[in-house]
Amino acid sequence: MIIERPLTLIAELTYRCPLRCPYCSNPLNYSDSNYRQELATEYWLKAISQAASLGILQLGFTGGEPLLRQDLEIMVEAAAKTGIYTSLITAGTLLTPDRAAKLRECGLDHIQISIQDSQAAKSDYIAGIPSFEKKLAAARLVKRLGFPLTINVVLHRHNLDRTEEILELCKTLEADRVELANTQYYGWALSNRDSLLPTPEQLERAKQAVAIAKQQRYFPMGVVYVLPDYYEKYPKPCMGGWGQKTMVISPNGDVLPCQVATSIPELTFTNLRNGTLEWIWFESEAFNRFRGIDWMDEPCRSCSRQTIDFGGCRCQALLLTGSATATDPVCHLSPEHHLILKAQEQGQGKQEFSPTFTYRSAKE
Amino acid sequence: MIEENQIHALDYLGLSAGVRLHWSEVRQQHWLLFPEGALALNSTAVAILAQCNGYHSFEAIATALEKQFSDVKESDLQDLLSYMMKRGLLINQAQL
Ligand code: SF4
Ligand code: SF4
Repeated sequence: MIIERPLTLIAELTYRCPLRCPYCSNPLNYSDSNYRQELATEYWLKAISQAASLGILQLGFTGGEPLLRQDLEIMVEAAAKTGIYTSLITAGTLLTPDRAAKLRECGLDHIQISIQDSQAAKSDYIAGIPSFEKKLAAARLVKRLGFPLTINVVLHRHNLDRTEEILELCKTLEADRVELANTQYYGWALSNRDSLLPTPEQLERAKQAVAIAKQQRYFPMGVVYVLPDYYEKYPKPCMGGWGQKTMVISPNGDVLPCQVATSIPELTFTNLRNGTLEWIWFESEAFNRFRGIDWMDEPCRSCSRQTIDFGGCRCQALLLTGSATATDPVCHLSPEHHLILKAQEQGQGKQEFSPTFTYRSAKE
Repeated sequence: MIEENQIHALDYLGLSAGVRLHWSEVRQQHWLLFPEGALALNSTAVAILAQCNGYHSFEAIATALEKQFSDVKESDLQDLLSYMMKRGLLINQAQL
């Protein structure tokens, strides 16, 4: 099998974050001591130079809230010098004019800001803290400094009805690009699944609002709409295929094929302190475990879509069926597809009740 | 035949904010990099995009290109520029 070089590195600088979104993709145990021991600057700088030699073209600084790392500017500067394209993915509340200007000087290419809804009270309700006004101020700052601005929004039952208003807000903020991603049910989102699952009617209206924004070209660099896979016939080609495009470094230095890969207990991940990115990408067991198609069971093994969706998401397969080599149960051909249908029903049943979220929080 | 007004829409193009060219030594390949994306470029595309600095008309780019590559058609140039504009990677800087 020919292994292509990775295109993207996702640098999760920290799992600390002032917000408490109930769909956060950080692990449930993000506050464990293992994640609190964050990688020191020197290791990150080493990783950045290894990423450049490996041919990585895109580097996303994310978290948690990456701005909580006071050495972010040093990392951005080092990455910019290699020519890698750098993005900051932030909740926006900590983006001060000083830091934004400094990041611009250091050569940061692009900023993504998340918002939770189109209205302050509703956005703050999901974020778990007052943050909406600061986010808008941050978005304006980003534009003023001449960065391209992406706004990203995670969609679920409590904001899908305002997709149109959300898109209008993004337009007012002069976003160059918008990412609307329906919630994916791992980690915190899986624990809150019954309160977050939308109705098919909501999804249909949201789809129409997105189609209008696309047709009217609200955003010069486009709108990405990530479909809710629970309602699709086929699963997503998760990460564009395991070990095909992306590497993730978690705050403690573990190198993963995807942000939620730690949910698969059979895998052991190499830490940056113990191996180079090049070795980890080409040789390590974790990156080769689900690469290509040889690991597949039926029905994927004999399916013609195996190189289109790669059998879907490994983490979702494990979390829902108990087997990491199973077909993603989102697929209508999966023998476990009834699990998805049941979850949909349960979600619908809770429709009338006011939501009770488990907000993201540190374990006692 | 290419329509006159379509041509003028392709005058004075420049790379949008946050879009840039990159040569990858490891991959021995030119790229166009932009928010959440990367396009591999062949030598013609690199030559065209290098001309997109906001000061050249479509005709000027076409003429410059003809000198460099004998086999590039004007319609290929138009296709590439229109595609890049649709994706928001190039903008007409005369309007700014
Ligand atoms: S999803 Fe919310 S809580 Fe989680 S890192 Fe992002 S902003 Fe913070
Ligand atoms: S059976 Fe497997 S390969 Fe076929 S469509 Fe479903 S998930 Fe994809």
